[in-house]
Amino acid sequence: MEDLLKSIMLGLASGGIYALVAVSYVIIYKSTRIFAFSQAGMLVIGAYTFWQCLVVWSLPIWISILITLAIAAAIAIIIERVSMRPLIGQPILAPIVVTLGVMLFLRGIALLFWHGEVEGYGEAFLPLGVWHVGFLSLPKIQVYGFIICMLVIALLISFYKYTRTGLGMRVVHEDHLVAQNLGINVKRIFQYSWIFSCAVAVIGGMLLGNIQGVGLDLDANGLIAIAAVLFGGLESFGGAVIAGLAIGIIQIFAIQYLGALLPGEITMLVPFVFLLLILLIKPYGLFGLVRIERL
Amino acid sequence: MLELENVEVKYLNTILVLKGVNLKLDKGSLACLLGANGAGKSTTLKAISGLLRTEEGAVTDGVISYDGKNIQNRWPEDIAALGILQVVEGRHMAEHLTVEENLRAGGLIYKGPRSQMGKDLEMVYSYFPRLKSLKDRTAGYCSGGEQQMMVMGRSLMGHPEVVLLDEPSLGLAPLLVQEIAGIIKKINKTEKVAILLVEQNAIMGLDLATYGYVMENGRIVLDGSADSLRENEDVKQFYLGLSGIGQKRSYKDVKHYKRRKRWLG
Repeated sequence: MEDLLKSIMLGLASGGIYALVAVSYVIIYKSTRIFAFSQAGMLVIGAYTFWQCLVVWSLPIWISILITLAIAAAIAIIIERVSMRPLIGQPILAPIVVTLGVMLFLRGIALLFWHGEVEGYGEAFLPLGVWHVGFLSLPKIQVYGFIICMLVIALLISFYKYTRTGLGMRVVHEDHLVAQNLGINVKRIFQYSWIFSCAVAVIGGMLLGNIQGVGLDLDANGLIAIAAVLFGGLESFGGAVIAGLAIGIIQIFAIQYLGALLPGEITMLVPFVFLLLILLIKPYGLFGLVRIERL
Repeated sequence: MLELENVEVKYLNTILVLKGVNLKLDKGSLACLLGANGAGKSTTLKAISGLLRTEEGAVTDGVISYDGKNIQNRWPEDIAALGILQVVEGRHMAEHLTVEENLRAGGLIYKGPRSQMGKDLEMVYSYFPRLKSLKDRTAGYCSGGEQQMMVMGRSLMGHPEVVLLDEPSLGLAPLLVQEIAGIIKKINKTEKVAILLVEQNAIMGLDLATYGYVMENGRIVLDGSADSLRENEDVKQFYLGLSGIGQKRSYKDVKHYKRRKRWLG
């Protein structure tokens, strides 16, 4: 029982970050219908940029965060302008493959600047140590990470719900033609979506870097988040969150209970096997939008 | 004032759809555009609103001007910003948003004070009382008539000067068509919005409008005041379904050949 609860807590903690990364895919998918693989690369860039500011230049934490977010926004604008906008109206596969290329490019940039060495924030970012709650011992970085993820997601969802720009973005999510017809500048909304998504992704990168160490391998988390996105349904923030958390828990369970039985890192596969099973049963994912069709 | 001069439209640079359309819409007036399927009515509206550009179409000749400025071949969002809004045929909307959110989305384009949004919503609800009781309903699940009211109300939220209404009566019950017609008239009168109405329902169109255009094969073949069109023999027979004497035609004495007419356009 104790073990079970412990696994669930740990699973939720890593699941929170998967949820955040999954949300970054959903932001772009909802408005542009493009599945942006490049966001896995943004995790690496975010983690390294933050490390550079915080540890190498020893800037204050808030300034480091702001710089990282600003760089994320700049990269987002460049990706959107240079590689996505010329492809508007082309077959959907073209931009998707381009995002794959962008992911490798971002990885390459990280390799160029930081030589692929694994770094860490040490005590500079979130406080280390553990909390003891009853029989549970909760690592502080994981708890803080989880809270930050949920806050960012809540902030984003309320932005969509309560602001004018958010409303415009939701109309774009539904139908580009309707949005244009209402005078909403769809291309600008695409740009906003990329900026939001990249900002969310670098926050995910910072948190992951704090837990797993800042390195090129962080983009594997991007892959796991893809499982969460598909599992939750590509178009649903709520679905992405729930699926992200579920995959976090499933992964910890797999490591806990199957890890001893299976050789090597086969447990990494578990989220994807699980994804396959879910998609067999519900092809749109758990919370994919049901098309409203009136007969 | 909106004016089309000799407008020619091609799709994909090969398919000629409009072959020189001339049309004029004064400030605050209500004109209707009649014609058979495929005559080019919707294309005319899309040429004005810019939606043509999203369908690989373009104005290849002629001039569309609004208040003296050339506006052909601009993006739809730019044209909407000028105050020309099209209500597209088939009631396209953000299906998963609520009715009120859809209305609010229509108001995003208005650049005036933010507080205006609430007043505008009340204004729309006063024209379409039914929408008020539906405001938290998911738009996609509303009935056809309610959706038509919603998309019309939505265009009002943007403070338009010109509304291009494409077939508001499509697929609606006759009683509802009457209701919508009444509202169109009222909006035109009280909000001083110029309306260009495209209709298959010629009786309704000519009743509402003060001026009418008849389109065929990508050309305006006939135009005149609504009264004169209503008295025109050809319009009567082809569009209003009346015989020469002005009574309803019965199947009993229907002709065995289809009367053809070559329009001199």
